[in-house]
Amino acid sequence: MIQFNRRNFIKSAGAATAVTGAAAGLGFPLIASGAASKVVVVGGGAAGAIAARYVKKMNKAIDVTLIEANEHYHTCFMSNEVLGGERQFKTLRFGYKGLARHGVNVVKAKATGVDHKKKMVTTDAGRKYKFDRLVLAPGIDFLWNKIENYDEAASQRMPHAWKAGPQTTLLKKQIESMSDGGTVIIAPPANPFRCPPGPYERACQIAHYLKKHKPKSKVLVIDAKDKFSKKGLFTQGWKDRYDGMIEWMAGSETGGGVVAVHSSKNTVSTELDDFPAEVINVIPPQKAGHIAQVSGCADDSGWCPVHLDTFESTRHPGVHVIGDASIATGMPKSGYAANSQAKVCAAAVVASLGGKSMGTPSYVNTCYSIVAPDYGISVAAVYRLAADKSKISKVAGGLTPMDASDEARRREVLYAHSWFENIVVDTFG
Amino acid sequence: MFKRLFIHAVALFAVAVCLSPAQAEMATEEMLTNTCVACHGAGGVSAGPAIPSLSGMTRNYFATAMLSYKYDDDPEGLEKAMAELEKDKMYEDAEMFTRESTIMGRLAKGYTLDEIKRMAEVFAAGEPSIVKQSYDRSKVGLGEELHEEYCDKCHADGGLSPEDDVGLLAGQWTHYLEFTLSDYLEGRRQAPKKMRTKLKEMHEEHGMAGMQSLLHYYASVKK
Repeated sequence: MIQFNRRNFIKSAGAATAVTGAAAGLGFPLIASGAASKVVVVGGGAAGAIAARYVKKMNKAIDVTLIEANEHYHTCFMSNEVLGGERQFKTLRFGYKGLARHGVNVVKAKATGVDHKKKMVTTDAGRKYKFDRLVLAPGIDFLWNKIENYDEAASQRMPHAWKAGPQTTLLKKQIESMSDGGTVIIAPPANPFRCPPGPYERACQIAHYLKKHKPKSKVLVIDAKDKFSKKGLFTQGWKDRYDGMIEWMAGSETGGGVVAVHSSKNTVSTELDDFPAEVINVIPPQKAGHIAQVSGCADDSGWCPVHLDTFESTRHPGVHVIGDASIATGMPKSGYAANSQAKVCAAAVVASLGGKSMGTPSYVNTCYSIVAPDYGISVAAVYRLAADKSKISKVAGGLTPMDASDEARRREVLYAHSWFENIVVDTFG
Repeated sequence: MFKRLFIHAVALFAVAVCLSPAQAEMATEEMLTNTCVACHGAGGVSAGPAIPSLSGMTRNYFATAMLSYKYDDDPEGLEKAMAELEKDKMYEDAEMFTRESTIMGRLAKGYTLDEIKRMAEVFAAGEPSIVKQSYDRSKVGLGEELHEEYCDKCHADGGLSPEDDVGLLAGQWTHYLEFTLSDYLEGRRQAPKKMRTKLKEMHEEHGMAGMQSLLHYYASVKK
C-alpha cells in the first residue's frame, strides 16, 4: 500500500496538475525539460520583428528564430511622403542586424509550410525549424483578379504600392513623368485592408507633389466605400490645401468602386463608367500573407481568427498570428497596432513557455497622417480586452479635433516623424 | 511584543491588498509601458525630433502630467484625482500644473490612476538621458548665461536634474522644449508662480532670441 506522506502527496498532486494541464492543451512548462524553448517567428515586419525582439528581451533563455524572406524591410508607414517628394526612399529601409545583436537568430528564407504535428516550419531553402511556439506575422497578400484584369503583371503598369519597395518607386516615377494636367487615379478597396487612412493620406501627398510641380493635374479617388478613416479631417485638409485638386467618389456613386482595369488603354471601369488616367494606383483587396494561408490559420475570410488576449490561433493551438494578418477585432490594421499586438503576444508566448497563464493585456494604437509638410492629423486609442474576450475594446482615444490650430497641425507632423523614428528603433534598432 | 504584532498586521494587510481582484487584473508595468515606448523611445529615450524622453522623470512629474492630460476637460475630476494621488505617501508632494496636448489628452484617458502610478515607477527608475542633436555653438554662451540667471535655481545641473519634480531640459529634443516654452508663454501650460515670473522677466529682457539661445544651450549640455 502506498504511504501518503506529505512530500509525495505534493509530488503526485503536482503530476496530476501537469497531466491535466497537458491534456487541456495548456502551456506545459517546457523550460522544466532542460532544453531551451524554441520560438520561431515568420515575417520580419512591424509585428514579427517586435515579437522576436520582445520574446528575447523578456526571457533570454528562449531560443528565438526569425524567418524573413528579404534582406531589408521597407516600412509602409511614411512611404506616402516619398510620393510627396518630402522623403528619401532609402529612409524607409531597415535591416536585421539590430535583431541579431539582441540575440535573435535571423534566417533569410521564405517559410513555405508548417507541420503542426511535428511543430516544424519548412522553408524554400529546404530547412526545417522546430518550435515550441510559432508566431506568424506575414502581413498581407493581394487578391489578384478580384478586380478584373488586375493581377501581378498589371501591377507593373498600375502599381499598388501597398507593400513598400520597388512598387513605391515605380508609382513615384510614374507621377514624376506624367504631364501637367494629367489625372492620377487612386482606387482604395473595401474594408478590411492594411492601413485604413493610407489611401487618403496618399491623395494628399500626391496632390502636394502635383501642386508644386504640375499644378493643373488632379487626383481622383474612386473608392469602394462610402466612409473611410479620418474622413472629416481629410475632407477638411483637402479643401484647406488642395481645393479643386482632389476629387473623391464614394462607392455608392459608382456602384462599388473599380471593378476592372485595362492596362493597354490606361483606364479603369466601375459598374457605371470608364475613367482614363495617366497614372493609376490600384489598391487591391487583401488577405493574410502566404504562410497564414498554407498553415491553415486563415479562415474563409482570408484572415486569421485569434484569441484576443494571446493572439494564439483559434484554429491551431501553439501558433500565434499578429499584425495585419490577424483578426484583432476592434483594432485597425496599422503599424502601431501591429507593434502593440506583438508585445502582448510576446508576453503570452513567454508566459506559456514558463508554464504560466497570460496576464492582463494592454493595447494602444497611434496613427498619424500627413496632409502637408506643416499639417498633420492623427487618431489614437487605448484598448482593453472586453470582459467576454470577444473584442479589443477602445476605452479612450479619438481624432485630432476639426479646425485645430495651425500650431497643433504643425506639431502633429513633428510628432508623426518622431513616431516613425522611435517605432523603427523599437522594431529594428 | 505589541509593536511586532502590529507590524505583522500591517504586513498581512499589505498582502491582502496585493491580492485583491482589482490588483490581480491590472496589467504589469512592463505591459503598460510597452505601449508607450514605440512613440517615446526604447527604454523611454526618444529618438526625436519632437516626442519627449520619459526616462528619468520623477514619479510626481510623470503622474501629474498624465493626470493633467487625462482630465484636460474636467477640472473637477482633476481635483479629485489629485486628492486621491496625494493620499499615497510616495506622492504627497505632488503639485498639479495643467497643460494642453495634441494626442496625450486622448490617450491618458485610457488609464486608471493605479496604472499611471505603475508606469511612473518604470520611468522614474530610468536615468535622464542625453540625446545627440545639432545646435548653434555661437548661441550656447548666451543660453548658458540665461540658464544660470533664470533657470538653474530649480533646474539644476544645466537642466539635466529632475530633482524637485521639475521637467528635464538638457537631453530633451529642441522641438519639444520649443513647444513647451511657447505653451508656457501663450498660456497653454501652467507654470509654478516662480517660474512664471522668471520666464516673463527673461522674455521681456531677452525676447525670443534669448529663448532660442537657451534651447541651443540645452541641446549642447553633456553629462
